[in-house]
Amino acid sequence: MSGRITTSIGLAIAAALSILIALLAGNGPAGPGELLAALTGGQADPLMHTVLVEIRLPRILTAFVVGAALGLAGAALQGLLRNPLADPGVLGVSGASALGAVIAVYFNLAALSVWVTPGLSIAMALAVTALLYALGASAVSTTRLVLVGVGLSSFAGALMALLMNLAPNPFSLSDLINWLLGSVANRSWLDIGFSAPFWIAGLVCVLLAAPGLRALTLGEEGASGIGADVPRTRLLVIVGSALLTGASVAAAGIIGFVGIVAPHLVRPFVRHDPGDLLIPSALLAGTMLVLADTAVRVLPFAIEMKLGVAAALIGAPAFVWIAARARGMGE
Amino acid sequence: MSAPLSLEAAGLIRNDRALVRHVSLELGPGTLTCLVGPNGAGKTTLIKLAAGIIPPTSGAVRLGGEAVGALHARQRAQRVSWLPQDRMSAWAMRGVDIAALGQFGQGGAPYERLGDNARAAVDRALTRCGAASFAHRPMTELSGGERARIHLARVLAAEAPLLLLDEPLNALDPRHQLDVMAVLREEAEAGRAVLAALHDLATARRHADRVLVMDGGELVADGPPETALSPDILARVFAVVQDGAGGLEPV
Repeated sequence: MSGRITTSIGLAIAAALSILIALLAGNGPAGPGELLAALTGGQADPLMHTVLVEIRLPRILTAFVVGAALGLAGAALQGLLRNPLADPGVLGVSGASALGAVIAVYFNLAALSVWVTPGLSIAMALAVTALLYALGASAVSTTRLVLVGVGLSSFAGALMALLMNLAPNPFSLSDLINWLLGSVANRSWLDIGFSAPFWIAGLVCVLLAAPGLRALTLGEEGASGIGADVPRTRLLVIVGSALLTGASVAAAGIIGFVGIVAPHLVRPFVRHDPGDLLIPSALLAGTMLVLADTAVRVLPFAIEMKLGVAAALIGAPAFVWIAARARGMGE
Repeated sequence: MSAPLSLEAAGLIRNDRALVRHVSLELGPGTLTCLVGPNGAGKTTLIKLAAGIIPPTSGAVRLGGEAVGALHARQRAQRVSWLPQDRMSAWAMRGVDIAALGQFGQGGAPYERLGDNARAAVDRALTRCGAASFAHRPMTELSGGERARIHLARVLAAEAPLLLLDEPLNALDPRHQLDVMAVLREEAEAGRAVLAALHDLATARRHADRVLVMDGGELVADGPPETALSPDILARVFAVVQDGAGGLEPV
């Protein structure tokens, strides 16, 4: 059986288990045993129902979908740029996207329509991905591309710092910090609903690019030579990863590194095939964020640690480790 | 029937520099043609023009009678198979999956998921390149010569009527160079048009039916090896003379 299928099935089971664990864990009004009984027996205690279905489930699903979207976007960008370190966070796409969301909130544009925040997040993600590609794609060295991304990321950070600097009151400041730190706490079904169309469209774009990504292992000219439509693949990945990242940032703020770590761990199980990498990376990245979010929920801190902080605490060292060993992989 | 490749006064100007000037030629089926020329003569650019990778800025390039710009990438890949000089494979993919890219037009699947016919074509190509024994290993674990043979297998697996190979002997030891030239000869005998850019003039002289000599972006000689590689051309284009032992010396 193909490595893609077995790996995906294994990871889907892991994802289901992680979601179940996340549902049962936590400091709620009922213990895991009672919750499990409520889930399986259908005992409709309204309080348990509220905890499970209205509070925990949307939060857990947001964590899973945000992780999956970032894993998918990371895997697709890595295939397009032939660089294992490409990731929406590292390349500045998440930062620009958060800037879009922050502008929507800061200037009160979000009050105009519920679609403004995800819309601006996605528009900024799209603009930066396209800019990045235009600036770095001609580079023989993929290092340059990552450096351009780091610069764009810093610039988006500087603009957000400017808005924080000029924030008129502590409430706007705390709003801004929420986007920067990244969290899925208190998400409702409504929040998932607003991002869902963009996640689905991004997923479709990226999956359509899978054969093109496989061809791109030969480089752009090589891929064109074997009959791949390189401009189409490029467009699908840029639009798809921008939709996935923008919708994720709109739902949860900046959550970094999961898009690098998950594809890196999956690659050996799919024979390093950039097309077969996509779905398993999404499943693993989603599972990782569900587990990380469960950890921040149950850890006994006086103030809950933000998910984005936890992801960076684990992900940044992993990034360094991958970068140190990546020599000769992408170039 | 139209020739697999024809160039009509094809030229390429980039950044105000003429990389290829006014090249006209036709490659018929069943011939092994070698393209030679000093460094920077425009061999790689000419091959990319012929492969449809870059469009000409003047003149026309036709594959099987069809203007290359009018063909979709997939149709183009059915008419020409190209071995780039820069043989990149970005990931630690297996040799068989790289070779399977030669059959990319059949759905773009990795080796195991190819249809029976496509997979048979890949297997044949790997065997003919002597690569079957190591093709299931990751590219990153192979030697330079082994990787070169996987890429050649990828080009053969396409089974296109026109093969364009940019320095196919790079990274190969003498024995494998001879094996590759023998494979290219078989391809020509099977009715394909084969064009290989080479650096080694002796190899071109010994194996080619026809030799194209490029210099400064122009086609300066075109004919059987003995006329295209005459002492006059050697001196004028390559600044070398043939010594008594069959070797070359600077002019």
